[in-house]
Order: sequence, then structure tokens, then C-alpha cells
Amino acid sequence: MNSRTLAALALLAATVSLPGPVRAAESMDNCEGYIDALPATVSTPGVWCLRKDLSTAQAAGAAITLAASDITLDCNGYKVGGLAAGASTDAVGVYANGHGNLAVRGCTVRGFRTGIKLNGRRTLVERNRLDANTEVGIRVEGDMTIVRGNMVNDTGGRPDAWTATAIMAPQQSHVIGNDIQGVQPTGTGNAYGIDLQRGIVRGNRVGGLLPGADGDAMGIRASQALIVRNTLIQRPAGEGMGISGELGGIVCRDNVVVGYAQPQIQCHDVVEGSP
Amino acid sequence: MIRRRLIGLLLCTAVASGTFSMPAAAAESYDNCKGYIESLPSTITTPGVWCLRGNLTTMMTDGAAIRLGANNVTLDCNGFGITSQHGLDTVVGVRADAVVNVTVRHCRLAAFGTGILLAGDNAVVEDNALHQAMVAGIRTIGDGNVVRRNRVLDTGALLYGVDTWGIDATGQGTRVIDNDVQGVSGSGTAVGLRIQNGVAANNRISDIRPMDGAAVGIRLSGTVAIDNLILQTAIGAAGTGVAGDAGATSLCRSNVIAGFTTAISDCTAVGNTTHP
Repeated sequence: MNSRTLAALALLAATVSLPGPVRAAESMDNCEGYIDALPATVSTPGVWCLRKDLSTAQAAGAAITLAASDITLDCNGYKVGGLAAGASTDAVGVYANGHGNLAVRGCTVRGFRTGIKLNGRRTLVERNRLDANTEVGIRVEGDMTIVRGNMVNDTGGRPDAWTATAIMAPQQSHVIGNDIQGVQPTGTGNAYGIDLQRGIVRGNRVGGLLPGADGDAMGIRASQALIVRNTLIQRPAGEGMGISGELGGIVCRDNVVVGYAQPQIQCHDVVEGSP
Repeated sequence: MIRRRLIGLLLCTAVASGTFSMPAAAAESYDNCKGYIESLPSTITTPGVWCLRGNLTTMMTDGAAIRLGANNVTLDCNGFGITSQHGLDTVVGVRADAVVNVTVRHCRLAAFGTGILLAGDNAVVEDNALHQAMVAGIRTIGDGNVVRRNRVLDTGALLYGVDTWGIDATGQGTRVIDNDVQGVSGSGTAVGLRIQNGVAANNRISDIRPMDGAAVGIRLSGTVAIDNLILQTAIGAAGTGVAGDAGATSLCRSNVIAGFTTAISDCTAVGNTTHP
């Protein structure tokens, strides 16, 4: 048995032995109601589902409004589309204001000014796909929120927007294991991968930030935060900051930062003792 | 040799980046449910997978909403919620006493005194969300228990002098892995995670905010704490990131701790990153 075979077997054995994700087919069993047309407002707690792709041409308001606490929106992989409203749209894909214990999962949200915008405590945004939203991919406001396992692609393009941001979490949040590719404002300002205040940012992968002429690329901008084991790749290499702690109080560890003029600024990263 | 190193690096990167630790991707299915819990309180006395297929609420003033009364019982809530209407510290959401091999998964439990309380060996508590528990989100007592991938949010009520825990796990070989604990308050000592004689790995703990007592991110005894992220965001709340027991050796390795007046105490510390 040569070294190549041994290496392949080792890789296979390691992969099999690791606790892998379950990839079952989608089920509707736990859906208590369905959203079959847009715009829609959900005002009853429970698990609400999509069972087909939905689109809207509305240029304002929200495609889906979560108007009560304790709602789970499970799109089962289906699309909430807003591309028809054009790049100047003011519409939001999934929206809630002032409600807690919400969860949004399994949604493909495409072509809105903000893809998912939730204001409330203890919200969960997981395993969604955000495509071509014109200013912000995901924005969560409220303590104790979690944003994990989402894919946020090609954010930007709104004509009058100075900046574009894939994930914004301005209050206490954990942002974990998200994939961000492509953030490009139309204006002259900054392109942000993750913009967070007070929280934990771990295991995210960020690439493809293209700022405006007077702006910077910032893979992660944070204050009062732990920034750990993120991968930030900027191609082509150029200006900008991989991790910016200019607002204060951040700790960085084991991040991989490639292609930024400044890999990290104002970030405490001392490892104490021999690991 | 180069190829071998590359493969090793790829594996390490995949594990470190969480590639292999994401939760299940599909909506819930009832295919493996043996029976259903339709009302509260309820006691399960037959082994198998027991499920919820709707949200449930209770007006109980003490006792347990669901009691697991046999070995080898799995409670799968399929993402549905169980809520205590009275919000009393005397009511437990899911409870088991002196049974083994029980599992509680995919449950949302709100406003109980303790969300999940399992006493027995080889229990698994996974993929649950615990909201607004008054004393503790999850408590396990027994050997070989596993608590993983849970969200424990907003724990603690202003009960005078009562200590509060996001997760409290006691027993030989206990493993507490990959949980998010956000927001623990109370008028006594507020603790994100307490663990004895086990392993605490890859947990994320933030916002420990007692009213009068101390804040502790992880309190441990005879335990290995590795790769945990502990952030104190509560303004002016003094406390300790990881507090060991002087009488039982613990190891703290590769943790990242910020915002506490004391980062680590009574724990052999290797390769941690700390910041006041």
C-alpha cells in the first residue's frame, strides 16, 4: 500500500468518523401553515412554511412580515424573490419589528434592499441563502440573536447606497459559520462582510469585497467582540482591512486573513503560554 | 510527505472552521415517531421516539410538564415549543429521574424554572432552545451525558439570592459541546456553564449580567475546558471568565476570554487568549 493510498484512507476514515451534518430530504410534517402568495403577514405563532417559490414586484414594504413572537419561518429551500422591483427597491424580504423568539431558516431571499431584517430578542437566522440583495443581506437587531450557517452572495447594487453589508448585527449576537461572497456597493463607500457590535464572530468565510472609489473593504468590523477562526480572503489583493477593531474592545485569534493591506487593526491577539 | 501534511492541514481546517459541525439541514419529519404528546402534563413510560406535533402550554404551578419515565426514551419536539404560562421556578419543562439513555432534542422551552432536568447516565440533550428559564436552562446529573448544540438564552429571574446557570452538567465523562449561551442574569451568582468532571469544548458564552452577585463564564471542577469563547458584554459586571475549583485539577486550553476582571482562576492555563 503506497503513501497515496494510505493518505486517502486516512482522509476517508477521518471524514466518516467526524459528526457530519444530516442531509435529509425536506419534510413539511411540522408546518402549521403555509405562505402561498406575497406579500404575506404571519400573525400567529407556530411553524410557517413555503411549499413553492414565491416572487413579488413590490418596491416597498416587506414580502413576508412576521407580526407576532414565537414564529418560525421555514422556507424549505424555496425562494422569496424580489428582483422584479429593480435595483432601487426599498422592499425587505423577510421583516419583523419588535417581536421575539423568531426563527428564519431554509429561505432563498433574492433581490430586496435588505434580505432579512429582524428587530427583536432571541432571534435565529440559519441556513438561508441570500442572493443579490441590494444593500444588506441579513440585519438582526436585538439581544441574544444567532446568525449561523447562511450563505450571503452578491450583496450591493442599490444606486444611492454608499455602502453594502452582507451581515449586520448591531447588538449582542453570535455570528457563526456563515459564507459570504461578493459585496459591492454602487456608491463610493465601504464594503463590509460582517458588521457587529457586542458578540462572537466565529468560523465565517468572507471573500469578494469590492468597495467604492473612496471606501475600504472590511472583512469584519466589530466592537466588544471575539473574532475567532474566520477565513477572510481578498482577491485581488488590495486596500482595506481584514478585521477592524477601530471601535474598540475586540479580541482576535486563529483567523486566516489573506490579501488585505491591513490584516487586522486594533485587535488584541496575544496567546498566553505555549499552546 | 508534503501531500500528507496538506491532507492533515485540510482536515484540521475543516474541523476548525466548523465544516463538520453544522446542525441538521432539513425541516422536521415525523417518520420515526412512535407516539405523540398532545397535552401537558405528560409522562412517557415506554421506550421509543416520542414527538410533538404542535406547540403546548401549561398552567402548572409545580412538577414537570413532560416526564421521561423509562429508559431509552427519545423526546423529539420537532421544533415545537413548550411554554410555562405562570413562569414559576417550581416547574420543570422536561424531567427524568433515575433513567438512562434518554435523549431530548429539537425542543423550544420557555419560562420554566429549569428547562430540562435529567438525572441519569448517558443522556443526550441536543439542538434545543431554552428561553427565559428562571434558574437553569439545562441541568444534567449523571455519567456520560452529552449536551450539545443547544441555544440557552436569557436565563435567570430576579429571585432573591438564587444562583443561576445557563447549563449545569455534573457527572463523570460529561461533555458539553458547541452550545450558545447568551444572557444569564439573577440576583445571586450568574454562571454561563457549570461542569464537573467532564469536557467543555467549543461553547460560546456571552452577556453574563448578575444584579448583585458575581458573573462567571464557566465554573468547572476536574474538567478540561478547550476552545470556548467567553465574552462579557454587560457593562460594569465584574467576574471571572473561567473559575476552577482549587481542590480539583482542571485544564484550560485555547480559550478566548474577554471583558472579565479575572480571566482564569484555579485552572492550569495553556495557550489561552485573554483581555480585560
